[in-house]
Amino acid sequence: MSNYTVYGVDDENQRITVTDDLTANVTILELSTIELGQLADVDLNNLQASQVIGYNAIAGRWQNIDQGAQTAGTTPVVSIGATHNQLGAIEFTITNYAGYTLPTFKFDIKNSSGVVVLTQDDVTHKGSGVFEFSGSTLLGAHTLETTAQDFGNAASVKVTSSFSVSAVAFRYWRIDGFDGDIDGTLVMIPGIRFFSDAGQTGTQYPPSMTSNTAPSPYVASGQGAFNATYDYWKAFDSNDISTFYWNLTGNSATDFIDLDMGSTTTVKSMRFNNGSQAAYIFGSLRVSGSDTGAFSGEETVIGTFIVPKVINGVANVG
Amino acid sequence: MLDKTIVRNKILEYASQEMQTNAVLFNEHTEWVTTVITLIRDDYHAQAKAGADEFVLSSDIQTYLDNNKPWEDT
Repeated sequence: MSNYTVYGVDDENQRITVTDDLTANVTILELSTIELGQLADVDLNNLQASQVIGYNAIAGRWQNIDQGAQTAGTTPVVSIGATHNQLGAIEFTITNYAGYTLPTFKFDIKNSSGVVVLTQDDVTHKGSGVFEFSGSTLLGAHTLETTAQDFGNAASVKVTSSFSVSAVAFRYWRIDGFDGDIDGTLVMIPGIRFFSDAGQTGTQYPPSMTSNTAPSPYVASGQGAFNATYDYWKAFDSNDISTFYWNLTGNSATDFIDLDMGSTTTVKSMRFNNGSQAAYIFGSLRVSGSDTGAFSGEETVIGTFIVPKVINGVANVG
Repeated sequence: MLDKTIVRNKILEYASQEMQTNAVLFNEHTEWVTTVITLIRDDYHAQAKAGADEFVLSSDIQTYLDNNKPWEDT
């Protein structure tokens, strides 16, 4: 299907001039002869100021509709990091958001082929002009196209920002930064799972562990486990509800669980489970990756992930 | 088979029936009650799985409970 850009409206002679976006051919359409099917291919998103067309039922003809403001609205200033990973939420900010009164934003996230892969429906406004979307289905170079329209004003010009999304692949993984229980310090963590594919599918990493060193080559370690009953590997065993890592005498600000996968492993999705005991459920945790296992500054923080702070709450990431 | 009476009495030693009821009804000492029951029950299961003949509360748990109980001994 072709898309057409309207660039001329001749109200007096009841005709519009369009260009075929694909072939650049110029066509003049007589409004009096336009069938709905002919208009179906018109790309209204590319209408410029003073080029709004509509049907006037009283006059019984198509005409140029004056919607008030005919100059482009305030251009959004978009700030987005250049590189992101597939697992963390991709955040961006419209830094002049406070200058709008009641804005609506149109977002098109396109891959390197120019295909729209996400839209404003996939973007969440966190407030104060900070937005985010999931990068789980993205990989490689992308663009974010942003158009703003404030209440009563025309749409702004489109702003294009570039960013790239890389796969998450590490040998060593650390889970820490627990947002803990009632007093904020202690957590029970019954289930942490990594997966080779998006949507918690593909190969599960690690396979259900039966000790801190089994099955090979996976090794669980960390800080804060109260005793062997609540050891680190319990977060990776086959029971995601009633057996768990528990830092009963620890401190969630400094305690952590490490997992050595044995080799560099690409992870495209994760799952975190809360347990069945309300007193020790957690609300979020942080995941980092390292190529050396030192976690002394060389690590990459993949993200902090919210987990429903309810009994048996589950968070699926990616 | 381990005698569950010992386990039950040990739980009641640190979290009386009244305290457990109040935890449910009024959210009083819920974290403590959860901790007591979880620690002792899991310790029991671990010892049963290991084939123990008699349940003896593990020393690390005993120490923790003695040091953290939410009341002062008279």
